[in-house]
Amino acid sequence: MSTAVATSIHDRRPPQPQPGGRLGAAQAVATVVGMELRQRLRSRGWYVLLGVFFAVVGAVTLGALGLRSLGVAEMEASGMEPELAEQQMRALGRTLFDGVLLFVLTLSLLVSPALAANAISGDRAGGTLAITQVTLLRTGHLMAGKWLAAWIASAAFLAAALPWLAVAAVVGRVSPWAVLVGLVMILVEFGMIAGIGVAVSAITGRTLFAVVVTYLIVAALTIGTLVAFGLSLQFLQTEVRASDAEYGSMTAEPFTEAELEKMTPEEAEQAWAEWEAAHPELYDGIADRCVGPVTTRTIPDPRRSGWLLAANPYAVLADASPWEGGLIEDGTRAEPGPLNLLSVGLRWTQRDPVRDVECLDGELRGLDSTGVPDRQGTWPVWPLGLAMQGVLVAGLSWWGHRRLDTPAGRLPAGTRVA
Amino acid sequence: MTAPAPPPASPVLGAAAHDGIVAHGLARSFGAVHAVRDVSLTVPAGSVTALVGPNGSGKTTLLLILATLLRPDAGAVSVAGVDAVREPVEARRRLGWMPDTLGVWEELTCHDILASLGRLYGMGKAEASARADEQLAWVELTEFAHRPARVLSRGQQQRLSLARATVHRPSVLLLDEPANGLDPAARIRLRDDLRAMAATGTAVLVSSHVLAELEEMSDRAVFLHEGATVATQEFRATDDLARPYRIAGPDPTARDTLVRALETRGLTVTAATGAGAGQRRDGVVVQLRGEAAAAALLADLVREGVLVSHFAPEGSRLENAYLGLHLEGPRTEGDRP
Repeated sequence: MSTAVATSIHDRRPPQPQPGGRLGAAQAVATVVGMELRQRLRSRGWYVLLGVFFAVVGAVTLGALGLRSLGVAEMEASGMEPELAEQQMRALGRTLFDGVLLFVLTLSLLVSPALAANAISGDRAGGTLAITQVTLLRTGHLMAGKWLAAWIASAAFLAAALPWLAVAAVVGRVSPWAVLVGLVMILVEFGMIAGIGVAVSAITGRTLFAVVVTYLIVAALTIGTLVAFGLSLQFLQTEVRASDAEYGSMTAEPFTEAELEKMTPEEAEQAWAEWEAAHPELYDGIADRCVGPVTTRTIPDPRRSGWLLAANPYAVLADASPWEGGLIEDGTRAEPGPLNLLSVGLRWTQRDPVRDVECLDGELRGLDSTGVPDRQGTWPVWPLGLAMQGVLVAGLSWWGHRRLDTPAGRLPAGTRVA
Repeated sequence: MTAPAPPPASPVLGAAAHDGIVAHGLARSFGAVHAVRDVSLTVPAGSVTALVGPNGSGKTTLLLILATLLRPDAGAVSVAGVDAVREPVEARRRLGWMPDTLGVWEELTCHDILASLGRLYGMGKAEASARADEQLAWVELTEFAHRPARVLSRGQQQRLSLARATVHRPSVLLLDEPANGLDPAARIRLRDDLRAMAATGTAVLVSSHVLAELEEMSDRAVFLHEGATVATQEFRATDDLARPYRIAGPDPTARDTLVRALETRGLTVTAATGAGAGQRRDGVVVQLRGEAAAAALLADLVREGVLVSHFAPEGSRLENAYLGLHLEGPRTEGDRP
């Protein structure tokens, strides 16, 4: 290093002053993204993390495949009718794919806040933030570049999970449309989480604090919305007048021990089947009679707080997923998969709770409590969820921009510009 | 993508101004802490100006204001004729800033860092890449062009940082404690680089608490004390000021002869001041005005047969000027090379 001392200044031409050019938005954002990605892609920890992600998603997918093959084997062994078996296979496949998709979202919710929240506060700690801020780079372009880079980085995790999602989709015979919508919604959610992380890291001075706050916000979206909704039901109630519904149940054994002993197993099965056919009210989810006095009762009314759940990333993913619980060719209904079931649960909050009260005013209404769920008469929740998340990201980004902009006015306590 | 840059508009000081830095009445506080209270300074183009002051005197805050990173609560800054408070982006086009923390993208290569920064100054791809090569050649880091910046030594990182700060050819260069942690060879190199840049017309402002070293590279000094500029000194004029010279003979017992010889010439002799523990500081100290006076005195002493083995200015001019301000409060901590 000290060999440089001998060099005369005449050997090296010092920079001559000359004013520079203009910096366009695309060049600014692209340069920030490029620097950020190259900085990340060259660190080994990143690849280790991707490898672990790939392995964990793979393990879960293979485990689910194993469970599914057990189910298939059982169906074959029981000699089920081909149509029914096909229907069951589809339901299992959908469950497999939905499960893997939900798992990928969960893992990403755990990983991407840490990646994104490091973006700006990490540069601040490393002393490189101020260096980019004395260039022609505008604060908005800096944040946009960091956000895009964080988004691309989390998308890499989806890419790592893609082979397994493909396996689940092919084995589960999931429609391409459902696969596409699932992937797109996961990407959109990654964008939201990355936006939150980058904005928070612009707001706070310290990396650790930014990471923790981002995790808390993600927790507020995933768990907090559920808790808030649950609590709200304590306060949002409505009164109905109803009596108790009574569901049929066996009051006495239809066959005595002695009778059963006389039958062969085939005869016994036949006898049971006949008895079941003769008493359908015992085996359905429909109330048989209303009993007791008609009284005033309070039941939770979710209609005014159901929107809280929309901000949940799982809710957005589930509700946007194509509905496959409709009629299939032979007139029977397909079993909805986990994402569809989640969506039904979400949209249940849009319904008048009185609709589900059996024995309203003491009248038997014959509601089927075990019927295939449907979403009829409800509106999609996911656009509301995306809007809520978007407003959150926009608000945080605005705040972050104010904190980050230079020349800096007020500084967060305990932070330095450089 | 990039439109050709029109000539810079300078609404404050007129279109012809290419004046380095002119700052008036700058103030900036953080809550109850008044980091900068009242700073006015000029850094002329083609000069190296030293910013001198103890730790906590507001040097770094002042540089951050000049670098358009902090907004002053009061006052005005013009950078190369551009109002830096009202038009920070125009000012950034013209200024380079090297912070005391050498921010380095550890995983990026040296060429990549310089080219990317060039892009952020609006250069095209090819131009930025060529400029990066040029800068690397200038700071002699070409062999590290395609190696990650983390492998560089501190001195090399500091050179990379200088190349980075000047990648857009600024006409104003701000350096905050650039010599911190550098070995003597690297310091000399830095000095030469800054002098060379000033020679091409760049206005250089450099802060440091290593006074002797600042003196070697600067033409002027601005003294900062408790957030205010307390004095400005042109070094070429310092010859007119009295500065201490230490004079000693080879035989310490013959000190009286020396003192008498000096006193007959009307000089006030002070005892060996500032003798640190364990430090051999023989001889006496007299105040002399200018180098001509010193040369005349030495010739005179020799002619008279007074044995002189040591005859040299005591301390650096900058240090003497600084100490001559008789400032209250914390002194510059000793980091004399």
